[in-house]
Amino acid sequence: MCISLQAEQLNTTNRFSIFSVFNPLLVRPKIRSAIQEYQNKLLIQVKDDVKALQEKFKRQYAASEASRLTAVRDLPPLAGSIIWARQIERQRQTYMRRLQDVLGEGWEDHPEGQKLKSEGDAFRDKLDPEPRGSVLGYCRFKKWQEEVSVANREAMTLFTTETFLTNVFRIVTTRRKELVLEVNFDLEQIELFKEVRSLSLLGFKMIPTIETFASTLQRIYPFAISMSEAIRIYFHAASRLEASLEPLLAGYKRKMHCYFKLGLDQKLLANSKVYFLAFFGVFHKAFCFFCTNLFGIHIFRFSPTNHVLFGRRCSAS
Amino acid sequence: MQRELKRDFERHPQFLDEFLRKREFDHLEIFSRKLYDCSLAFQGKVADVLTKNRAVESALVALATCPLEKQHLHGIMASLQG
Repeated sequence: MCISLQAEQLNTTNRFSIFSVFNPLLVRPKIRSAIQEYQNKLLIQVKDDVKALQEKFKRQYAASEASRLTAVRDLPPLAGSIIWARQIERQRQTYMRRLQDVLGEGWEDHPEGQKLKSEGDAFRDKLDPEPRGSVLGYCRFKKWQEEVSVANREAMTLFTTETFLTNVFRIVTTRRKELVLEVNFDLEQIELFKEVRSLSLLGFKMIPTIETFASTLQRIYPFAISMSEAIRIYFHAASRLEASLEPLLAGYKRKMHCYFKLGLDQKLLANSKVYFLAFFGVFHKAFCFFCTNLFGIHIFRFSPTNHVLFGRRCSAS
Repeated sequence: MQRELKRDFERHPQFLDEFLRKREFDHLEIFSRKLYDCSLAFQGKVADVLTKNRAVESALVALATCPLEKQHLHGIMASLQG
């Protein structure tokens, strides 16, 4: 063991592994005295490592390189921070195991071992202030789950695949009092289903309402993104077209309007006749002019009055 | 509306009727794909129209200012017809 430790090219990791292999021999006084020099060096190393780990934790997840990496890998913030905390915890456990390997049996009675162990335990408490034995990050997960349930209570009961299919598009009024056509899907909730997916992979059990809601969002998401993009492309292209050239592409525009009509609530369309005509028929030219001034994709709640208002404005223009 | 979209759904003749009546999740894929294709086609057409319009406008400007000679007029007319 001593010969192995004396080898000059040996790095610290290798020395730790030698200690872990010959750990049971450390009870012998002769061996203990022979390896004391290396033992002290490795103890200093463990101390430095724990200190560096604490510094890393103090800098917080949001400012860490890990948060940027998780964002690139499409991991939501909560799941990313839990993964980061778990990584730190695993590293802390590795350092504690190394301490055990270096000091041998009864390491907790050793003055240095005692000090480092209490430091490590205090660090564990800071890392996750929840009771020992529970899964790391469980408290934060619970809190997030409660917040999500409260914030999305209405959406969770009203938004289903069926309601989305009834009304694929919606018309909203922006802050500038402009009417905008968009997909009936809250793009802000994308983060929710990503969070649910990642947290489930981390082993957390969701409450059924959140799970159902997230799976609905996940199912609709690719189509909603595709249709949002189609709407954006259409209105952007329409805004580039000069009024004098519009008749040349009237057929294409009409076809797009047919698709929009197909995606709107048919019962509602039938009830608001003005809107119906404005959108897809008699006032087609006025509508084209109006559409060229529409832009942007915004999130909104569906409101039937918007449809009527939209039609009136079209017919007035 | 159905007449307008009929050609788009040649391969799915029942789609429009079913989508209006039942609105099932399976329809969404076809609908979103067709909508996206249609918007892309529109975008392409707009780009084409704008390019051609610019070419015509510049040819007309050239026509207004060019010397009244066969060679010049022939070149501009060829670009207009072309």
